Amino acid sequence: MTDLINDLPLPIDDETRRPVTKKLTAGEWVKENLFATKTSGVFTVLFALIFIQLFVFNITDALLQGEYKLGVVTNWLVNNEYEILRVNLRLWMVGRFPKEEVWRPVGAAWALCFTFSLTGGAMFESSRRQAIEAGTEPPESTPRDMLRRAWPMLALVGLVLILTQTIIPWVNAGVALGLLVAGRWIGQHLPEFVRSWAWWFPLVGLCSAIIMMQANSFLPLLATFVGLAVALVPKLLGPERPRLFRWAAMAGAMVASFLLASMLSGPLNDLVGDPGVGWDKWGGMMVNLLVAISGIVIAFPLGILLALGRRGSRTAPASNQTTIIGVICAVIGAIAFVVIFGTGTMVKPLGLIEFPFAAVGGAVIGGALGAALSLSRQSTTPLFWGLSVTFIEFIRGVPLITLLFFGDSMLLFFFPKGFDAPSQVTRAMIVVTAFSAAYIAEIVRGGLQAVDKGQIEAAQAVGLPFGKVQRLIVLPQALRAVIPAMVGQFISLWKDTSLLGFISLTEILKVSRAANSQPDFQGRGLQDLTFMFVALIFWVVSYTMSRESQRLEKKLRGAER
Amino acid sequence: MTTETQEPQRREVARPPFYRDVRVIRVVGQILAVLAVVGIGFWLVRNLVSNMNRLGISTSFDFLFGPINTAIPFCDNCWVIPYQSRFDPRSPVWQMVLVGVKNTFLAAFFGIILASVMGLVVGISRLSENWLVARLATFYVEFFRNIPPLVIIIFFGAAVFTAGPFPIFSESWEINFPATDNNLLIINNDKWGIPGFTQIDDLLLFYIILGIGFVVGILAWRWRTRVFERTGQPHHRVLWFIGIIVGFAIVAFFALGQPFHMSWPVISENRRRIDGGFIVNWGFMSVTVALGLYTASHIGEIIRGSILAVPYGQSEAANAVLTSGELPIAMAMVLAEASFAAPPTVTDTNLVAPSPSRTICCARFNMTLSSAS
Repeated sequence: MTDLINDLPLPIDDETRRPVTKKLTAGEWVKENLFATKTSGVFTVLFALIFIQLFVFNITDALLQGEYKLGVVTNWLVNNEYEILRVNLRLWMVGRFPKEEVWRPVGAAWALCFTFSLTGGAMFESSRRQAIEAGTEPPESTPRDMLRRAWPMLALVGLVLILTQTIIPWVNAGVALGLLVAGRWIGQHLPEFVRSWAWWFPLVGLCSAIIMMQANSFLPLLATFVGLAVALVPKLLGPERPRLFRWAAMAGAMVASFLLASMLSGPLNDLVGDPGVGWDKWGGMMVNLLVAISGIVIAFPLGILLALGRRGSRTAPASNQTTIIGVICAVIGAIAFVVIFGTGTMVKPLGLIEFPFAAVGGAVIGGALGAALSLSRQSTTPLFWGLSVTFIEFIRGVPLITLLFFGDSMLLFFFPKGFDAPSQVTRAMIVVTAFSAAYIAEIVRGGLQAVDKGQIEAAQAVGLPFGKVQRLIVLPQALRAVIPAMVGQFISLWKDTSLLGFISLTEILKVSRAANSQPDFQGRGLQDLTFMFVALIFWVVSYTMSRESQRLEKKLRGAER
Repeated sequence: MTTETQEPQRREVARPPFYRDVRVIRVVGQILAVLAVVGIGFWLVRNLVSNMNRLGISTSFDFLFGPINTAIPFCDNCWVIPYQSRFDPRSPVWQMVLVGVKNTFLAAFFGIILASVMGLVVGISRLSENWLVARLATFYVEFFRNIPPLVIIIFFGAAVFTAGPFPIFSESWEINFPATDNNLLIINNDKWGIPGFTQIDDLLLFYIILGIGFVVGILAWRWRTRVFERTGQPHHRVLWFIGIIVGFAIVAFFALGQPFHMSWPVISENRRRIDGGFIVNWGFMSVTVALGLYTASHIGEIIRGSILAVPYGQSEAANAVLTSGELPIAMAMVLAEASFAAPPTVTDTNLVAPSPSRTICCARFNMTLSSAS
């Protein structure tokens, strides 16, 4: 055995008995990684030429026309008219948000920056202390690491700042950066008892951001928190009270607080006197962020509920029985549709064209119902199952853009006459949230199925109620298992916000189309620049999210071992 | 030894109060939920019906048979109806919907082909031993994966094709078929013309004969497979299959008196249109190319993951057997990973199919827009 190892043409480390990776010189590295084989060399030369053509020096123009120019992309970057970005930068960032109110989003961003970095610092400190206590290697966070994580964001902010025309955005960004650093530092040096409350800081930040954006939401928010606090009281009363009593007390407190909020908000808002800026005036990147974040934050609990509702089924593959019942129901459905619509009792008699439509439609609906019926028999809660499946499969079967059109044109009709109709942004948020909830539900369901059934049974045997089984046993494992898929869904949701322009919201893609049709810039062929700018904004956010998800995944995988 | 099995003693457990009994909670909870959903749904539908009645909006499907009444921009290859190359605003709406369906399927079809090829190349390149190739493939994936497909589509449509390096309409690029006057390709900033077919007669009979040829081809395929299994002779079943279909097509073409003929793209007299041939506009091209490139970045990642899922020893073995460069290794790897990659790739190409619903950005006609207008 030893001989065998020694015979290998690799240098072996004498102590560890493992092959030593030799430090390559530059020449060796080039030979090994660029010119290892003939094919490899050809590819290297080819791609190097393309690279030079694109970024360094325009070879083809020099050869064909005798003009010496920079590479295609570099030339494009250097000799471009950035005026269109400069002039329209405000439109891209905040849309038609009133100019004198821009302090609101800036302040909200500051609050979020500070509180989130505060929590980040506190969490980092906690995990460092845990590691020290456990005797493992404490995590490190050098400024270089942070730079490596945040460089796309910093680059984007830098680009935007360069394009600005006044000094104020520089000051704003500087303050935000300062708050980020300060929050991180303070978070790491918080006393122990404050640190344990760190999870609540972002909520405080979020509330102050909401209040800053819309001052008249102050009272409803306050009342909600009072209600939550009141709702905690019966919990503090102790477990000796009957459960039903505690639940009733909680529900009563919350309903009372909501009622209080809605009753008081009118007159008290008049006292506050400053309504803030409603969603319908938001635009630019703010709308993209608002819709994407609401699609994530609100849809997440909804998705979990839907997944739990669907989970009741025993995940048995479709059996023969299902097929047979489905086919029978399809036939019955087709006959029923043809009879109902064909005899002319309900609508006009069917023509030649409508006839197959009715038959096929009846068959599809009947078949789906039949299969659902037969599948639902395997569920402990067939009605929940049916509701969840109907919602999920309906939403997932329709493209988002169709749903957005539906929400834009039809959603208003569902509200009674005289109802204060939701604004366009709100309607978009409703649709995007429903869409995202259906996809999150399917992802979470995958995670739920990954949790061993024995664990649930064990928890039930111990006597935990359903809520506790899910909250303490199932969901932590299930959600951890689906982090990559979930972040993938968030990224695609963020990318899907580019569709909002079709329902005439001024999101960033729409802004760039509008900018190109301004009289100053029309017909000057600046589409490439504007669309690249938009692509960059989307790219930076998505790329950062995917990298952070990879980090989180690695970290949690470490925790599992 | 007496085996007196002890009866497990059934303890009388007091039933929990009804509000803690999971059986009761299940039933009551479900009924309450369904009642709530049905109630809210009933309320919403009642609002809908009363609002629509108030505003006088009808809900029937009759509009499908009414005239379109609007011009469809850029609808060049709207050949749903025989003998009609351009769309007539007086034709019924359902024909317009059909055009949308056709465009959606065409874009999905070509997009899937482009995405599969590109994704395979990128996925393999990411694992290349060549540092430069691997870096470029990574750049490609990270670039396209993190940008909305819609932005890519509009970028291609507006920045590359219409405002890009292509000649404005009057000065098209015309590439002639060698030694003839026939145009092989016409490119300008609006359209793209390639040779196509013009039908003269009804093609139903031709299609029927082609269908028969398809059936015969399948029979031949099975016959060759049996021959191969029995005797071990090379089966050449793909050649047989294609040959039979082509043969049927040629025979049918001449037997039916040449029901269609080649049509070459020509720029019309007033230089405003392309006549004849198969005309594609840049909207369609940008959708197909953009979706193909975008989806390729996803498929590339799937293929990379599947290659990595193949045990490393197999690729070493392939290396040892096929020592003549990168391509054979890639081929062996592709065969090995095909079984891993097939299901997710199919799922991902499924993503292409709903994506053409985004084609409307290029004023391209498709299903969603036709239902929205």
